[in-house]
Amino acid sequence: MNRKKEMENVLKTLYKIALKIGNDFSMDTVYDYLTQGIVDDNKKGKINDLFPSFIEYFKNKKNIKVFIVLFGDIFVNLIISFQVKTQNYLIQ
Amino acid sequence: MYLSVDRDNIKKVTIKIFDFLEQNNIYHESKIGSEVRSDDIIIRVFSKKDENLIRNFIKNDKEISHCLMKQIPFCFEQDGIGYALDGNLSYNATISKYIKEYIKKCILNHQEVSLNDFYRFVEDIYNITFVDKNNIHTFKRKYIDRGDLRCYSEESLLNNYEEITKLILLAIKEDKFDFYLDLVDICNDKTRVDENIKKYVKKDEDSKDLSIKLIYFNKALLETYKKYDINQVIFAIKKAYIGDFSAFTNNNNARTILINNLKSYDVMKIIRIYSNGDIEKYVNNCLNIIQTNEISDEIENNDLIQKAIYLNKAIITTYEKYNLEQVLVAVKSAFYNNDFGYFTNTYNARDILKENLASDDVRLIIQNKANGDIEKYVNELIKSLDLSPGDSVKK
Repeated sequence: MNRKKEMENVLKTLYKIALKIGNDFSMDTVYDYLTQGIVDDNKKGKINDLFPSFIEYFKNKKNIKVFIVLFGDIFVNLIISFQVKTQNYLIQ
Repeated sequence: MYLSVDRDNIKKVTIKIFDFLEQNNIYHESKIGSEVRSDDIIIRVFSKKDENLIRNFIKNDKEISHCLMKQIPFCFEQDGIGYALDGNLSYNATISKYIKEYIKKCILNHQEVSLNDFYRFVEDIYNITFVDKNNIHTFKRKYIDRGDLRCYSEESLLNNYEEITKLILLAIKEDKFDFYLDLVDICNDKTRVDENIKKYVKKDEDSKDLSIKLIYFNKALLETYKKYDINQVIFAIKKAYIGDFSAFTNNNNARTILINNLKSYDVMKIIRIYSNGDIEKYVNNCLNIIQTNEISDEIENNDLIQKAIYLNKAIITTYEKYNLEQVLVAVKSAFYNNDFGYFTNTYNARDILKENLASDDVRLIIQNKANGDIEKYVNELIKSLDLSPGDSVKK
C-alpha cells in the first residue's frame, strides 16, 4: 500500500475511534494509535524491563551519559547522550 | 531518525548501532522507549553527514535492516528509517494534535475525513498562523503546552511549530527524501531561525508591556554604570537572572523600580530578544549607544539620555529591518516635522518614540552629537555597532 493510502486509512480509523469513544478522544489516543497501531500485535510489548541490561552496556562506553526517565517507579524512556571529546553537551 | 524494532531484536540492534556511533565519534542525543512502537529507538543527530553515515550503516547491515518494522506513514521514510525534525517539540505529538483537532472538526460538521482535506486543514493553520501571523493567540491556547513553556520560550516554540507544520505538509505531499534534507538545511540556518523568532516576538501581545519594562531595565543599567562600571552592570544582570536585583544601584530609585516591575524572566526575555541572550553584547550595545552620543558627559539631563536611547533603538531596528535610506527618511522626518511615522514599529520602537519624545527632542539630540548633521549622526551610530541592513521592502 502506498504511503498516501496508509495516511488516509489512519485518518479513517481514527475517525471511527473518535465516533466510538466520544469525549475521551484526545491527542494521546491519536499518538498511541500512530506509534503503536501500526505495530503487528504479535510484536507488541513492553521493553522497559530490558533497561537495566542497556544501562549495563552503556556503563562501559566512554563519553556516554544515560538519563533514565521515570514515571513513578516505571521506566519510561532511556535517554542516551554521547559527548564528543571534551565538548560539554548536555540535553536537559 | 526513528527506528522501530521488536522486543526480540532490540538489544542486538541497540548494541550494534551505539557501538557504531561511538566508533565514528558521532555526537547524538538518543532515546529508547519503554515499549515496542514505531519510534522505540530515536537517534537525534545534528548533521547530514552523520545521518548519511548511520543510514548507510543500517542499510548495509542485513541483521539490522531485516529487523526494522514499519514507520508511521506521516513521516518521511528512507531505508526503513523514519525521519522528522522537531527541535524542542515532538513531531509525532504535534501531528497527533493536528489530527485530533481535524477529526473533532469533521465530527462537529458531520463531514467525512480525507487526506486532501486534512492537508488543507494543516495548510490553513500554517498560512493563518505562521505566514499571516494572525491567529497566534488561538494557536498558542490550542497547541502549546504549559509544560513546554516552563522549559522554552514561546517564540522558539512557535518557530518549532512552524518548522514541524511545514514538514508535515511536505511529508503528506512529497515522497522524495531530498525534500526532507532541504528542509533540514533551512531549519538549521541559525540566522533564519533567529530572525524568525524575532517575528514572533514582534507579534507578542505582551510586547507593549515589555517595552515599559525595558525602559526601567535600561534606566537601572545606566544608573549602575554611572556609579560603578561595566563589570558591575554585567554582574548585576547575571544576578537578576536568578531573581536577585541587589547588585543594581538604587540611585534615582532605579533598583526599587526594577524590583517592583520586573521578574527574573523579564530580564532574560529582554536580553534574549535584543541580543540573543548575550548579556555582554546587550550591555555593550546599550552603553555604546550612549558613548556614541557622548551625551552622558555633555548633558546632565538623564531624561535626554533615555530619549537618545529610544531614538537610537528606533534607528537600529529600522536599519536592521530596512536599510540606510529608510533610516535617513525616518530621522529627517522626525527632525524636521516631528513625524515618527517612517520608523519601523518592530519591538514597538515607533510607539515608544511617540510616547516619550516631545517636539524638538530629535533635533536637540542630533544637535548635541553631530551639530545637527543627520547623516553623520546615523552613520556613526550604525558604524559603531557593526550592524547589517535588513531586506524588507522600503515603506
